[in-house]
Amino acid sequence: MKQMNCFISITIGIVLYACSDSVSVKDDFSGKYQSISGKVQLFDKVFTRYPFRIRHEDSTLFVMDLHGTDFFCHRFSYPDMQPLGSFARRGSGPNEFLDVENVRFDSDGNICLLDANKSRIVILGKTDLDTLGQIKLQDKLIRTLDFDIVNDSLFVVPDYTGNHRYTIINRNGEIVKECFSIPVRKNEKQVASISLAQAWRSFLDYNPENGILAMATQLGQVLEIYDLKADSIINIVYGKEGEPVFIDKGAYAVPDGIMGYSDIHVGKEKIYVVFWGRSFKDIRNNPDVHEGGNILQVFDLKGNPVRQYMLDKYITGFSVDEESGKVIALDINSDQPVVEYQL
Amino acid sequence: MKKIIYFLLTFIAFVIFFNIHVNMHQNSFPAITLQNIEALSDAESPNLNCVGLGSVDCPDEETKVKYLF
Repeated sequence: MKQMNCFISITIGIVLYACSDSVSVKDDFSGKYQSISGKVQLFDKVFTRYPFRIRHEDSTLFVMDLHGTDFFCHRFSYPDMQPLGSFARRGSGPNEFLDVENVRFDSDGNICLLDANKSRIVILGKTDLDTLGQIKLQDKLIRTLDFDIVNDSLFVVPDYTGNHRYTIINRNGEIVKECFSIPVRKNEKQVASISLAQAWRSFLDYNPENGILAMATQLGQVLEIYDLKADSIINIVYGKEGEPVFIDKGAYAVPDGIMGYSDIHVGKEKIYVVFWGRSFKDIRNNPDVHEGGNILQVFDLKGNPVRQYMLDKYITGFSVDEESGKVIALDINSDQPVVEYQL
Repeated sequence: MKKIIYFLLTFIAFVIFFNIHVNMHQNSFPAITLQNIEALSDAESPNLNCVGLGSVDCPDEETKVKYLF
């Protein structure tokens, strides 16, 4: 009888193993969840269509509108949220912008904007907003959609060539160094590198204090952590949703998986990302539900999960003040998009 | 007699296991086959359609949209 029970157990085990999926999925944030509610910061007289990036510099808040009608950027005094004026006028003129992808500040507090459609990084004076300089990106870089400042003379940018993961350029726009490759694990050797780079389009952030550069995929759930100073890969974190899923249409990658991360911040000790997790099938079927993600994930600088916050709003971009634990986020679905969270 | 029955049952279980395992692997097409299928379907609809207002890059129109197909 004992032999019979043993035999049945082994048989069931063998059959279950044979039927199981070979990919094991693990939720690394299990037991580390926390729900938090935000406080809406009211302001008047400024209309935004698609607020996407927010920066807090001294006592000024900068809101970047990805689809701004007249202007791409707006300034507010903070915390009283009084409008201080708009800038980065939409247009094709010499000091106008075809689009703005991100806003950064150099060590002097001057404002740096990336206009991907003009292939330029434009530097504006911090008070008078006069154009101090324009950095023309080399033609070798295809469609650079994000950037950060490495130091007074260097920038880090991704692009669509797909030959390297990121590129270091100098203030003349010249390529100084090309680093690593797209950390694809699937067999995508038949896919054109330009398609792969589109599918792996990522948002990046660099912290010059610790030398950490982190990248988060928009169309998948992959977080990449690099040590820029040591020129090394620290970790590639593949989340539950994994690598970007796409349909290769020659020179184009059509997203077919999920909307993943939409903003990233590298702090002194932690990395913060906002995650959407909504499938494109759902987006195509229900396009008017909402934009943004309500999951704020926190990792340490090695990529270990620390905490996952469930937000009461769906946000696109955010800024973090690690000392106070305050997050200022953009609720894209509201006419009053600025929301504060306390972590 | 019992030993023969156990042996036969174990043999049947292993046959089932290997059959399932082989079938699972046969179901996954080689990457090149998938590429060819996609290439044939793309040849009929090479255009990229960009829909809505969003943050997904539409390189064809140099704008950001909700989704592509």
